[in-house]
Amino acid sequence: MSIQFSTIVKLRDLLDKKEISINEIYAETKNLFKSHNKKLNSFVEFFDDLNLNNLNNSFFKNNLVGIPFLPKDNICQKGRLTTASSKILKDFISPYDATLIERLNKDGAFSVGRANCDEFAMGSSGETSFYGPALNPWDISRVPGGSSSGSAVAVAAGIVPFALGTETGGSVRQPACLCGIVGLKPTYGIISRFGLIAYASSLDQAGIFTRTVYDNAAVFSSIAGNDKRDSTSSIDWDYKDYISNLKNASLKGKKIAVIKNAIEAKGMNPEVVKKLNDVINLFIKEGATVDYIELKTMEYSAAVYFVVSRAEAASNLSRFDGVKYGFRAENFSDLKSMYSETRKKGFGDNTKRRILIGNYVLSSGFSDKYYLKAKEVQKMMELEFCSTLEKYDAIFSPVSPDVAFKLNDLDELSIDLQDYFTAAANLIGLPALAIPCGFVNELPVGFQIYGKKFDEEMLFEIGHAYQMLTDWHTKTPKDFIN
Amino acid sequence: MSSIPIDKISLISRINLDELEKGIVSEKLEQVVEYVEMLNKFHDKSINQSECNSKQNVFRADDIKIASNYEKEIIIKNAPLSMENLFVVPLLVKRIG
Repeated sequence: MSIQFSTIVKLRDLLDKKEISINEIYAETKNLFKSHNKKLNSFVEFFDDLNLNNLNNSFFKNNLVGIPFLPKDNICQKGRLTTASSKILKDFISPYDATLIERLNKDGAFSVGRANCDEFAMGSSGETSFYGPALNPWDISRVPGGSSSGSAVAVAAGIVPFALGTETGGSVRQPACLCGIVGLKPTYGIISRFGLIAYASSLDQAGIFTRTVYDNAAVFSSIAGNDKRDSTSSIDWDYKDYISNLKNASLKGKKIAVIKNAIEAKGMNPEVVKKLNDVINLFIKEGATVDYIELKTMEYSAAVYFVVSRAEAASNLSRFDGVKYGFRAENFSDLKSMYSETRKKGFGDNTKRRILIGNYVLSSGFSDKYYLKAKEVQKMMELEFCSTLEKYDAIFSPVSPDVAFKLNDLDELSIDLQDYFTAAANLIGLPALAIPCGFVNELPVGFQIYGKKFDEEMLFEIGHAYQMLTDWHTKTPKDFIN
Repeated sequence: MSSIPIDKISLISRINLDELEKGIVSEKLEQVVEYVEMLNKFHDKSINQSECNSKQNVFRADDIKIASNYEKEIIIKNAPLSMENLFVVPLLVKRIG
């Protein structure tokens, strides 16, 4: 039985009816990996050695028992390699599981490998990975977006029903959008960051890729919750059910603010804008109230993000020095030259540049001009977005100005500017959900909604109601159907 | 002439750059710096700089957790060079005389 493109709900249904076993799901996932990964490069490792007999014998019922998933290669899995797709960590074996892996295992889901990504989750195309880029299943001459490139590709090609990514500036929503699937960036602190390889700690958050909003809420219910091992864990509850209320999901009466200066931004593909307008018109038709508003600070979000993320990256990545783990250069004369040579040879060019710029904006004489100024604008962004969200249930925005771009087609700055519509959620700590809404030239287009802090429920409700009225999430890339 | 003090930045980042790389990197960093210059056009006097860090420090008790033998083993195994459960690094202190 082919399980390709199955949702979590579908797989659970097959398991409950005993039409398939967990071992058969595992075997079929392996077949899908073997058929497609050579072309797509979405996995950097498939786990061949899983023993799932305990899961088969488990008597508990849960939404995720027997469901395979794929974590990004910067999420620690005990006893497995975890490299952040970087040469500097190429031999690193995790001594422990990240909290979100622990929670998913406890709920009966099983990880089948590691997903390719941009090196240290820095990038918007997947092209900076030490393992080479993952490719977009809708057109393999194009990028899938990034940094959680492989996670998005594995779900879009129907190999796994869900995958985990991480976000610092848009690294889940942008690849979800370019691959035609759902991507959630949750509220800062609602999912533990324990066991995630840090990029910019004040912005980093784990995220979820699925085909449907409903599945996304099911996975979110499993992994959201307090964790004492993460000092920025921002809630006091351990578990919350995000799926029960979805059966009554409706767009009626929802108050939506559309960011006018985003829809009208320079560089927006007019065909993409048409698709976004279709969504807005459907919202109105279904009884939502839609207002067009200006959010001026959004125009600064990429610049603020550049400064804050690089500054924190320079600090976080100072731990990679060739002493405790990973790669060490061979030719050096003393301790300092061992550090400098190891970092020269271990990091990719893009990562090196981010560290260098981070140290530049933090260095004496420049920190007032760049870092402190960026923090000031970041505060203004928070005030503007949060005061808007006091009046509205959600803010509507594009995710990406265009469809997926060609491999090696964009220069570095243009790739960095992919964060233009997404970084605000990370800079303010808001949740945001990207949802597919059509195709332009046979390539997927998506929209996103920002919500109030800790109000993922509202985003799921709006997203699920939208998917009940449309069928974009059921479309599959024709070249990758088994 | 680039405004980026590339030698200083390379030193504090502990990343060696050869001459060719310095040129390329300076140019790319210059582009980013030029873009973020827009931040300095932003003026809003209602913002107090001291309020700008919206995140609060969170403290917890410093509980010591003893690593299991498995954890110790796997941590040391990850070291590029180790000896008798210790990390090996180049000589730090020189003997005088």
